[in-house]
Amino acid sequence: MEQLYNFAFFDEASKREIRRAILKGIAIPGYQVPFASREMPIGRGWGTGGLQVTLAIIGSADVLKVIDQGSDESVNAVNIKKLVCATTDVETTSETVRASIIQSRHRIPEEPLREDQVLVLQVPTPEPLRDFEPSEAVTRRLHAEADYTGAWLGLFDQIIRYGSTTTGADHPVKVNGRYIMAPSPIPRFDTLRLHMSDNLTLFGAGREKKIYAVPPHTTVEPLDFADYPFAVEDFSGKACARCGATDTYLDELVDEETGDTYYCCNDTAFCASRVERAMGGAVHGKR
Amino acid sequence: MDAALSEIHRVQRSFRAVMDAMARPGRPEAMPLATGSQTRYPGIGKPLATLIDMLVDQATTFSLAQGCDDALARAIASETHAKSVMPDAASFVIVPERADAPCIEMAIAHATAGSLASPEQGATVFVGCSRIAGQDERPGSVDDDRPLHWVSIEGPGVRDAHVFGVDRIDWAWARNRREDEFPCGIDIVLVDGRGVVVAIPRTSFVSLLAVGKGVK
Repeated sequence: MEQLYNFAFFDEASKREIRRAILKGIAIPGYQVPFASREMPIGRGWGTGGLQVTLAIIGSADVLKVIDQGSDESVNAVNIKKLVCATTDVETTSETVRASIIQSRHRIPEEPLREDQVLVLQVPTPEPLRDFEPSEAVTRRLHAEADYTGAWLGLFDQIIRYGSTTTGADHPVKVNGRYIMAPSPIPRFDTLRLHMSDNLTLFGAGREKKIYAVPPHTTVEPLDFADYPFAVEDFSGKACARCGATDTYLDELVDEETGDTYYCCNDTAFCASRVERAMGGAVHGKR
Repeated sequence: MDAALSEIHRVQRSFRAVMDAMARPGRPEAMPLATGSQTRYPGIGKPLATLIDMLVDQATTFSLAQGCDDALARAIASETHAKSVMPDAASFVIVPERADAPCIEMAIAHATAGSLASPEQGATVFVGCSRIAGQDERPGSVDDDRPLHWVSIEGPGVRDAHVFGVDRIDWAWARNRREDEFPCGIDIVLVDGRGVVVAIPRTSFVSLLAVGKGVK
């Protein structure tokens, strides 16, 4: 590898600053630790927070997987992978089980993560109270006082208007019984995977300059009401058109020729490995 | 690979050990140390120097436990460019292995817990120890004559309980006496002479199980 940049892009002082924020984030589960958020060679809002976390922790022995909306091959994921590889020379993979660091936007892989894996989630809006309170100074005070009336009222308002909570993704959660946290725009389907997980999850919000974390074996409870319990997306009666899965998060697609609606696994690597297994290992291509 | 680059890789591996330790409180992690002898900081060993170089820099402040000589404080200030401040204002509190129980008591009692609005300003306290042992290390493998205090940690990051042995327990009493209310508090990182680290973040519940060469 030709060394045009320091290892992992950042200078060592930048890494120290991000590493200090990560440690405090882990020590205070669910609390958004402010950090300096460096300028990155990709635009803010395109995963710079997750990228900075990944670059601050990655080492030559790591194997990196990057996914965007469940896909290893979308533009955002490919470009982040290229940048990390160009500055670290680490191995990349699309197989969840082989990865030691998984950077993701909008999904947690279907395969359960192990304790030796780190999940890095890219976060556009880290503040779960932002919907009803635009001021950062005020939301900091609300978190300090654990005044989460607004978060509950927001969900109550949705139930009154629409008959159920309408958070499609990024459903607010309470971490370790204290902080209300935005789990990043993962679907409800994935929210419960954060609860008492074996792996460490780190969240990076580049534009909003926040880093936070959910340590392993930490309670993560979605906000809900006794008479309106939290429910994940319902895919009953539907199956993946490629691998036949009925227990995964599905994308709804339209066949452009026939106009028919069909469903496919959103996690493409998981789907491909299931297809491969079903074919007895005869198919080596990803599709 | 040149020396500077291999040192960057070594620092990264050391940080990951500390990150894993913080994510799994009470579980010992082996932290790789720099090669060569440590001469920049007088009176402390390589493991504590590794922690200082990993996290302390010009953007932070530090405080040394009372009773430590000024030479060490001056060395840390000049090597890291961090500012030496009063204990209640420091982001890092450094307790060398040779600090006695009253010193560590004072250092931990005065460390800042941060505020409700900014709990991340609660101090990180590095405590030098001579020996940390994992739960699975058999009593016979602990060759040191000094008995170990076997400590159990519960809380976030721990499924049931993590048990480890450590040669000093004064930090635990001092921490318990603080009675911090979450999210405020201090995060303690213990490091022994071989570079084994154990983290006790503010979320952890600490209880002493036994004193002896193995878990009873």
